[in-house]
Formats: sequence, C-alpha cells, structure tokens
Amino acid sequence: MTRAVWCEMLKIINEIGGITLFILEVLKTWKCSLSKTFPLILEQISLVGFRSLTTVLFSGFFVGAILVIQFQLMLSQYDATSLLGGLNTSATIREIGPLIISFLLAGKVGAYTAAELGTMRVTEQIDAIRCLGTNPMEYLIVPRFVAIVVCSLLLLVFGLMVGIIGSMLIASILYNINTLQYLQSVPRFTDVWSITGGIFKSFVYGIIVASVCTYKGYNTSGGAKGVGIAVTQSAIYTNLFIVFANSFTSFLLESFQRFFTALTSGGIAL
Amino acid sequence: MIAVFHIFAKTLMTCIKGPHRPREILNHMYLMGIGSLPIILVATAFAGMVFTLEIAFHMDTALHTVEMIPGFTGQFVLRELGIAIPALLLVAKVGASTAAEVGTMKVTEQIDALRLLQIDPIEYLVYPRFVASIIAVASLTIISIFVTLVCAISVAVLKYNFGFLEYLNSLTQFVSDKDLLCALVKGMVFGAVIPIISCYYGFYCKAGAEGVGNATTNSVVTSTILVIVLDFLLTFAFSMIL
Repeated sequence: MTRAVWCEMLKIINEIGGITLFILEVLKTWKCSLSKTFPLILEQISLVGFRSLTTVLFSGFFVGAILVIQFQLMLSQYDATSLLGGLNTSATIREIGPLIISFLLAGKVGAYTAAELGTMRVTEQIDAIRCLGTNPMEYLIVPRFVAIVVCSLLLLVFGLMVGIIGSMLIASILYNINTLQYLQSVPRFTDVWSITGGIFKSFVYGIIVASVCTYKGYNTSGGAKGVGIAVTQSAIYTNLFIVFANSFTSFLLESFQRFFTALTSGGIAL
Repeated sequence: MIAVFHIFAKTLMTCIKGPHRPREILNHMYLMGIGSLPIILVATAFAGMVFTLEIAFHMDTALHTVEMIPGFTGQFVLRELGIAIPALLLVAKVGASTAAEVGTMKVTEQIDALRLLQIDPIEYLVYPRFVASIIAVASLTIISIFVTLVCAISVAVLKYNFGFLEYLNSLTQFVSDKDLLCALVKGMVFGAVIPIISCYYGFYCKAGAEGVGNATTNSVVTSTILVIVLDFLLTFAFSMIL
C-alpha cells in the first residue's frame, strides 16, 4: 500500500516536471506575431466558451442550491440563520465556485482538447504542420492555452452569478428567507479580498487545465489507444492538481491578505 | 435517453436473476477501488486541510471566534465534502476509462461479436461494472471521509491549538451515525450513476477514434452534471430526515 502511494507520488512529480517544461516552452513563443495568433485565439475562445456555457450555468445553479441546504442545516443548530446569505456567498466566491467550474472545464474542454491534439499527434498532423514551416506551438498550443485561461475567468463570472441567484431562489422557496434578508449579511463576509481571491484561484486553475490538457494531448503516443489514455490521464491529473493548487492558493491568499492589511494599517508585525 | 433507462432496468434485472459472475465483479472492484485509492487519498487529504482553513477564516471574520470549527467541519465533511470530491474525481477517472473501453469495443465491433455469440452485452459488460462500482465508490467515500477528517483535525490541532480529544468530543455532539449512513447512500447512488452513463455513451459511440473521444467527453460531462443534480436531490431529502 505504501509502495503504491509512493509510486503514485513519483508519477505525479514526474508529470509536474514535464508540465513545467511544457509551460516554459509555451512562454518562449511569447514574441510570436500577435496579428497571426489573435484570430485563432478568438476562434478558440468562442468555441470553448459556448461549448461549456450551458454546463456551467446548469451545474452552478445546483451547486448554489446544495450549499444553501447544507449551510441552513448547520446554521439552524446555532440559531444563526441570519448569517446564511453571507456565509453561502462567501464560500461560493472564495472556494466552491472556482473549484466546481474548473472541474467542469477540465471534464468538458480539457478532455476535448487533449483528444483533439492527441488525434492530431497520432495521425502525424502535427509533424505535417512543422514540415510546412509553421511552429505547432504557435499555431495549435498557444491559442488553446490562452482561450482556456480566458474562458475559465469568463465562465467563473457567469457560474458565480447563477450560483448566487440559485442559492437565493432556493433559500426563499424552501426556507422562506427573503432575498433582502439573505443579502443583508453578505457585506459582513464578502469584500474585495474574497473576489480577488476567487479570480486569482480561477486564473490558477485555468492555467492548470490548459497546461495539463495541451501537454497530455501534445505528447500522445501509441495510436488510438494512446489517445484514450491521454484523455483519461489529463482528466485525472487536472482534477488532482486543482485540488493541490486549491490548498496552496488558500495558504498564499491568506498570508498575503494578512501581510497587506498589516501594511495598510501601519506597522508590520513580524 | 430512454436507452439509459433500458440499460439501468436490464442491469437491475441481472442483479436479481444472474448470472452473477463474482470473479468478474471482484476484478472490476480491484481495478476501480484499489486503482483509484492513491489519488483519492492524496486529493481528499488536501481538501480537508483547506476546508479547515476556510471555515476558520469565515468564523473569524463573522464571529471573532474559531470555537465552532469542529462541528462545522465535521458536518460539512460528512454531508458534502467527503462525498462530492471523491465522486467527482471518480467520475473523471473511472467514468472516462469505462466509456473509452466500451467505446473502443463498439468501434472495433467486439460488441456485435458478443451479440452473435448470444451474449447480452448489458449482462456481460454493464452488470459487473455496476455492482463493482457501487461497492467501490461507497467504500472509497467512507475512506475519504476518514482521511478528510483526519487532515482537518491535524490542521485544527496544529494551527488553531485545539486539543485532539477536545476536538473529537465536540465533533460527536454534532455528527451522528445517521450522517455516516446518509454518506453511504450517497456514495452508492453516485457509484451506480458512473457505469450506467459511461456504458451508455460507450454503446452509442460513433465510429472512429474521434467517436471514442466524443463519447468519453460526453460521458464525463453528463455524469458530472447528474452527480451534482442527484447530490442536490439527496441533500434535500436527507435534510428532511436529519
């Protein structure tokens, strides 16, 4: 058992190394001509965004609903249902919203991208592109990479809106909590920091989804079966890295917030 | 859409009248359960740590006290977090590989070959996966709840100076065995969703490598949405009981 866990850890570390090198390679194409890649990026953004919009909206609503029921159950034990709106909105913005939306993005867009690039690799289309003197990094990877990162931020906004509306709706239907009453406690929990934190997390998760899926697809080998393996592995590793990144970004944001508030309030207590 | 119910009903029928093929079920249980165990352990451990941090932050801003950490964490982990995170991970891992496997069988005409041999593909392919996945996901849910709680407790002890026994003591006031039972039911329902949906997309997979890729993606997305919606319905139902 310990051996299995150890092997899994080694595999994960190996993947992290490969992905870091891949990201560096993507960054190297930074000085490629923008006029060529910009239309490609826009095309990918529209594809990625429209493909996952309905899914995000639908599940965002239900996630908000689940949270409202759970928090209502807990808070009613403490007679603190007046905090329901604030707690729920804050948890959705800071934590659950970015997490669930990036899980969905990984399943929908990530798997599709990995399968597409993997099929291109296996059928030697990527080599053909290179033969024609085009850099496949610029032509295939960069547009998809940028589009997934941008879309994760755009979809976050929609998902959060639907989630918050859904939780308000469920609170008013099931628990007779008036919307105004629900929104009253929101400013107590939510400030600029929560929103910044949510956006930062979503940005990090977007980079994870984009890099893992393009990396896995780009480095596929072994025919049709290899494509299947690449898709499955990209789904697993994205979800896993998102959970890792969740804890790291939480630690990071908390310490940064503490540092910043200390800085603005005068002396830094070290 | 009706085909999903057809597959589900036929699998349930096979559950009653057999053939039961316990060896095949054990084999799939090993693949799903032991194969996903390391990833589930690592992921849920991290989730538990973060959750304590987040709850502590919220309690601190709203109430200026962190005393409510044990009750809140315990309830949220047992009712939602310890169940939803492994279920979503398993949808991606088990569901995608099942859909890809069955889809490849369909594309390479192995399923037609089974039909020619008078073997019902639903009995032969779906039923063992169905039973194995119910048992495996339910057990993984219990394991992940345990791991999440242990990590949550260790963060609370190390970072917020809770006593270990003090934590457990206040935990038992808020969490009962009813919660564990509900978690088990949720785990079994999610375990039943995964193979049915992914086998459905596998059976109706279009020809070619692209068809298999599409089937895999669609099965992951549909199962994720279905897990979330069922989670909502079950949470609502249990909130009436608890």
